[in-house]
Amino acid sequence: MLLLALGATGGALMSALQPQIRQYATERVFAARAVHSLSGSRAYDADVVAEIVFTVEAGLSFFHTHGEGMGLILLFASTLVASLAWPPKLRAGLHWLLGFSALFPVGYLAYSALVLLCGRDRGIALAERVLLIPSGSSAILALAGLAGVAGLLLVNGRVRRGRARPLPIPAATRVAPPEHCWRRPPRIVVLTAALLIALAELGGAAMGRFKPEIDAFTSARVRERPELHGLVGSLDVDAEILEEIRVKADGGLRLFHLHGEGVGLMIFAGALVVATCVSASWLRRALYAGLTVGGFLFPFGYVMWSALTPFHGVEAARRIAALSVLVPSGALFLLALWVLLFPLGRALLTRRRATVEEMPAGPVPEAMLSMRRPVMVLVAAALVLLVLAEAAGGVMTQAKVDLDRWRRAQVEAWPIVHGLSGVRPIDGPVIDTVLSRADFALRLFHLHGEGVALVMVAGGIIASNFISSRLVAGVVQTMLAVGGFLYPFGYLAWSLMMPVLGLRAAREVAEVFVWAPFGGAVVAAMSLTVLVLAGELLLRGDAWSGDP
Amino acid sequence: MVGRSVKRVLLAALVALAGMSTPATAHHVGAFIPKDDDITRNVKEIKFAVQAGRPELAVKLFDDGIVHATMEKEEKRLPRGLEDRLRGALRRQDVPGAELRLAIFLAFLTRERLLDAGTRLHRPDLTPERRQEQARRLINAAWRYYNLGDFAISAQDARMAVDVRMGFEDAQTYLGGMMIDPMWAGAAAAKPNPPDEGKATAVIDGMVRVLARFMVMAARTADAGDAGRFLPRR
Repeated sequence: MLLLALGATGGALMSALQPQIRQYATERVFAARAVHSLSGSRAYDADVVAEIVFTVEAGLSFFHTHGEGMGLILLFASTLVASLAWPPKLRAGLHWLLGFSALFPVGYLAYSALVLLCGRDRGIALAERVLLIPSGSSAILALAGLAGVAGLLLVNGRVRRGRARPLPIPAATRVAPPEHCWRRPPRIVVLTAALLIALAELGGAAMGRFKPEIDAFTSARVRERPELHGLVGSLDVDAEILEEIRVKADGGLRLFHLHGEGVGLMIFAGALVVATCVSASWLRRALYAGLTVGGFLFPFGYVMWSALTPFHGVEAARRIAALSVLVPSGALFLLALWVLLFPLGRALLTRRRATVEEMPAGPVPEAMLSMRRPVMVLVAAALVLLVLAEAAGGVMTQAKVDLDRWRRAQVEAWPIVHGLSGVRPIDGPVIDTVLSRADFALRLFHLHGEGVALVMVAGGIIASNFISSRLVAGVVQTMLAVGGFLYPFGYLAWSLMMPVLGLRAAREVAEVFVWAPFGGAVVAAMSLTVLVLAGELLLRGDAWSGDP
Repeated sequence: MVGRSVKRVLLAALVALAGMSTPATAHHVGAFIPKDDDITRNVKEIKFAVQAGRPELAVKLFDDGIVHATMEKEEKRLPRGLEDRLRGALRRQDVPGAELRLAIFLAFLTRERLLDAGTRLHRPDLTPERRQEQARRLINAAWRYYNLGDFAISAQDARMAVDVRMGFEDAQTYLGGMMIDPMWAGAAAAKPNPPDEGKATAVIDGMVRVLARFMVMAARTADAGDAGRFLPRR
């Protein structure tokens, strides 16, 4: 929860203080000319300084995204370790490894600071060697171990079903007493989280599928308002302005997709912690309200920003979205996250959690109810995906040079596919485009692998605990397991096929054979979950109950 | 006891939030990086092809590209026969001749944008801020073309090239801007001078005259087959 709060706050501060951060970083670079090898020539130094400042900002941005991502991974993975890992020594070992991997996002803060202190290349190398590689490897090791445990339990379960005399069941897989389990958050909070995740997934899919139409709409609205956007009536100048606005509008939608999924997961994770660790009922309700209202509204600020940009201009749209949605809802969400740390900190200091006896004895029984884990196949698939996605993140940065060399060789081996002329300066930009797109696709595999794995775990927990019909819950979990596991591999396939088939053909193959069927399955699973949760909520009329 | 302390913290946080008077800006969406436009990309392709000794590719890139289309559209305002002579130079693999003719074309595009910028500064229907902004944008567009032709122009006449380059800096300064990479945050935060449209117009007019002179001189030089005297044959 501390990582989630730090990551979310880091993002907010980075946005609010961007000019000051740039100014500070620039001044620090100029103050240490020798460290950054500045020449004193403006023409040369401008590019060098810009690149260093960009790297510093990238480090802060990675702290924001990895803080939130790693916070969620730690919460769900440690839950699975506590539920599945056995014997106790293995469990303790996995918990230690996971705990150490909490330093990974902090490594990106160090990355930014070390770039300023030691120079770009030395700073990056130092941050990687001291923090990022050890803590990242620790996370991969822990998740691989956990995936192994889940796999063993899965095989064990199959074997047991096929034999007359069952194998012994490890103690950890027996039903734990209620005070050792997560307690159920209210149904309305779970519905909100699932709805946000489903909308974000739909948004992401629509954004990719209808990009040309969205771009055409944006361009048409901008052309209708030449004065507002500073169009000058000259084709080349206006094309540049139009592209900038399209990039910003597209960026807003992209941020909705990212923040919708991330915040949806954070609402669910936060609600689990609130339900289990906060004893005062007024505080519990206040935290549920803060997480749900703030978290649900926040990503829509980006949709608003994107939608208003063609009508009001980039800056005005950003101001309106910030003042009306992003700042108030983001502040509420952050407040809830930070306040939640107080009871957690107190429990940690006194080494206890809110006991069953402390929970209210009134008519709200949800706090007393423990949660079931999702089906083992889903858990194992999500863990394998997490390991692969994390490993891909590591490969992407550590083996970039070798990967690029291999991709370049592939592109040059298929000159007709890429329309190469044989003149190096002409072909250079073409090859660079393929390389950068292939690198981007691999990055998307890393991002989507981690995101979808977390959605699989959270969606599985929601389906197995909040959907009354076992059949529907089973269908949802199957769709999540199959669709969620295979969907991110579309990005890996896209990345690998691009140098051979070309940009467009590789994309079309990935879209037809992977994204549409398997991504569609995930979207359908989350949409079905939302519909069933909403239906059950309406029929029961008890929004605050978590009892299925 | 704990409940009370948590309530206090909550209250303090709410008061702190309410006290935030300056609106925080929204999220980062990444920086927009201006790219080559179709014309500069096509110019580069033609130049690289002829330099690499691939005349057939250079002619194809010229005939199919936007440079040719723009030359046809502006035929009457460009030096006579520029399009045909450029194609001939590409076929003959006359690298200096082709490069100088492409520089004439780029100088023409630069001059057009600068003329347009000057016209904007005389439009009374626009507010001063709006016409200065439009002029700055057009000067930036002109710089993109000039930058690509600068080598050939300075090789033919270094003084002309210096006049134009300094003209760009002066015009931007007189319009309240600066010729600097916006990513260079420290310098970008410096306070610009107050705009002076009269001086900006004079600078732009001067640049237009220099570029017109270059076009005439360069066309004469290229037609005489003298481009190889100051441009490398590679």
